[in-house]
Amino acid sequence: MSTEFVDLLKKFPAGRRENLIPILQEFQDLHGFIPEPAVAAIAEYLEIPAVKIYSVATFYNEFRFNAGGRYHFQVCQGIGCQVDSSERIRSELGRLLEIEPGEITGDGWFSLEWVPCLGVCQEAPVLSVNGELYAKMTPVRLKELVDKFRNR
Amino acid sequence: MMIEIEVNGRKIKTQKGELILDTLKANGIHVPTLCNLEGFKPSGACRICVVEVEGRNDLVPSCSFFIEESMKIQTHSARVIQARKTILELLLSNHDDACLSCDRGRWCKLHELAFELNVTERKFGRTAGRKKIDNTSQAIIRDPSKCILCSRCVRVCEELQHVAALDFLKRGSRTEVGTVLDKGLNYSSCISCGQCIQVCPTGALKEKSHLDQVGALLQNKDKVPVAMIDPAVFATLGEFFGYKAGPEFSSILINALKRIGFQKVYGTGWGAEYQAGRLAGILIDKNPDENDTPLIFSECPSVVRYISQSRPALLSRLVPLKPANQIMAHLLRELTCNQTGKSKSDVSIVYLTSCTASKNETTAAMRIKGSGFLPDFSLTTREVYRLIRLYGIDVESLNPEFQEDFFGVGAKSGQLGAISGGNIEMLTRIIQARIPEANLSGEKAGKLRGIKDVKETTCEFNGKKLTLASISSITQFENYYKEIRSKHRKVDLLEVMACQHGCINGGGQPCRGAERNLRNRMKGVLEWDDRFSGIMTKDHLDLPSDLILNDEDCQAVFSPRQITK
Repeated sequence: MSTEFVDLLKKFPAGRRENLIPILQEFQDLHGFIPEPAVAAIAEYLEIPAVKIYSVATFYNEFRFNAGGRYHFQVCQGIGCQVDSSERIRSELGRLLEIEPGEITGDGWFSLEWVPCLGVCQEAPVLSVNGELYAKMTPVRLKELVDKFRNR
Repeated sequence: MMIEIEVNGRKIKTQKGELILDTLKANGIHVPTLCNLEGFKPSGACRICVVEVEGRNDLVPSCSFFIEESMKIQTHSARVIQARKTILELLLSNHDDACLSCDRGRWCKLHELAFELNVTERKFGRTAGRKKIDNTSQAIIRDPSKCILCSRCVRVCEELQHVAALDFLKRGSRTEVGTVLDKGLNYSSCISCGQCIQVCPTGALKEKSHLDQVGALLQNKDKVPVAMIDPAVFATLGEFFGYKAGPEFSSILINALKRIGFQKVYGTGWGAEYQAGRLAGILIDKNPDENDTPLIFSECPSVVRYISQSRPALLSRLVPLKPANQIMAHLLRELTCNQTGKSKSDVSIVYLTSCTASKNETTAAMRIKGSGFLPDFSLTTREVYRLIRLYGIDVESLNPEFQEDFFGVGAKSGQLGAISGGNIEMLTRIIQARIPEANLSGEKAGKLRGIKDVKETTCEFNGKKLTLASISSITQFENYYKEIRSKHRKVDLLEVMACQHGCINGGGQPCRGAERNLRNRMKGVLEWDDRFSGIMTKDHLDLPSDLILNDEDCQAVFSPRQITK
């Protein structure tokens, strides 16, 4: 086990499975995703089967197992946004970036993900880029946003 | 406390706090189930077992609801039947339609239920696409498109086998059963025991078939096909044809296999006795107080795999003996070469077994040419049945025929190797034969027989007392091991089998009816043993001079295995 993993895991008591989600969150904060070897390390430390950890991590959309792009787009698919036609935002974004959800552009700049409700339904439809919220999106504003990041 | 409830208008006496399903079953009322697994905690996942309880608005799943006082239950009201039908229609909506080419065939529980509930058309359109088949393992193939998410495999893998290779991934409509990091069974902690195949209600799990290769082998005139039958197959295969387990069907099976084209047919019992003889030698020489950890004896490839990946510290305590089938494969290859004058590569040993894990080993043999100790192919009991059907053999018309004489000594006690405790029983007989004054506690008292999780016996000779134990299923092994460690109990030899109650309950056995037939299979094995009187002599292990096995040949080498754990 790498020392980096050990240092992170040491913050939590060993063998206590209730700490699984906080541990996964720490790994994700540190790397931007959960590295595959971390699954085995967590399993050993918490004394639970590795597949259980993968099961929990895939249950929540929050956790990811591959690195995102430089700009990680998360489009809300909550009910509020769907009523305010987030579907258009989703298809437009897919067209602009030429990738499917869960994929990353060839140059490594953009990645795309559908997420459940982001919690700002009054501003629907919303999306977040690297954790920063963009409210009341329209296809026009979306193109401006993508262009802004492209030219950075 | 006995209470009275009403089911379908009839009064029934039952225990308060019992599960509704158990009460119904005890009173002969059939309620269909899919996810319910006897002996395990109810999961209530499939809801096909719903019943109507008076005073409740919703239907309740009978597998996970307790009986309450003065309950009034309807098990087959119009509302209940309609609900079951809709549930099944929903399950079928995303189920693969490939029933005609599905190897589960008429043993599919889902198919049976669709018939039972009169579901004759696809009512709901498919919402999920075909999923990728996991064929990374050399023993077990998983087709998630056929999975109905009943969780039976997940529960068996974790609760019975302590392996936890499978679990639910993702969520909601995208839920699927998968392995860690979605890398496939071969990279998971799977030990290929095949218990998941046994409990799967559909064809989502199956063994990797060697039928095509064996078919090609039987047609090849240059090859000499030799069949080697595990005692567990002898004890079970008759179920498919309505025969009772035991010696009677065994001889018919031998005749059938010869008609199919196997030139020689042997049982593996001799090898089991031979290895038990070697084990007895190790035990007789063993100094009783040298180590606290018991010696672990296992012919089971799943157990060896489990220990090598999850408990590598115990590797040094595994008795380094090759399993019986490897000894037999080696000897049969040599013997057939001597008899037919063919070269070793022209002799193919086909191992008929109840074990799915043996497929891992035979696949290794297919890749490494000339690994003389491994069988070339292995067929599960289910595949043997299909082979007999394929060649159009009418089993009922066949006369009994006996297996090839193996150096003048047919297998006697060797059949016992198919049940848990059997190897220990063989061992005690050999010790008794070699040391007549030895005092054995187990055999006569029947301590090593029957359907029990832990079988223990003691054996006294030359002023030392040895405790011998037999365990089946990995969870039982873990529990027992922990118990003897915490209580500082001394156990000298521990026999471990991965499948509960031994190979007769192996992953390659018929998928249905194991609970019902287990006792019969066990009886069949013991009947065989009785018929051949089970006597062992001191010198029966002597081989002819051209077939010498030295210590090195019989030894096994174990090494730790790295997995994505």
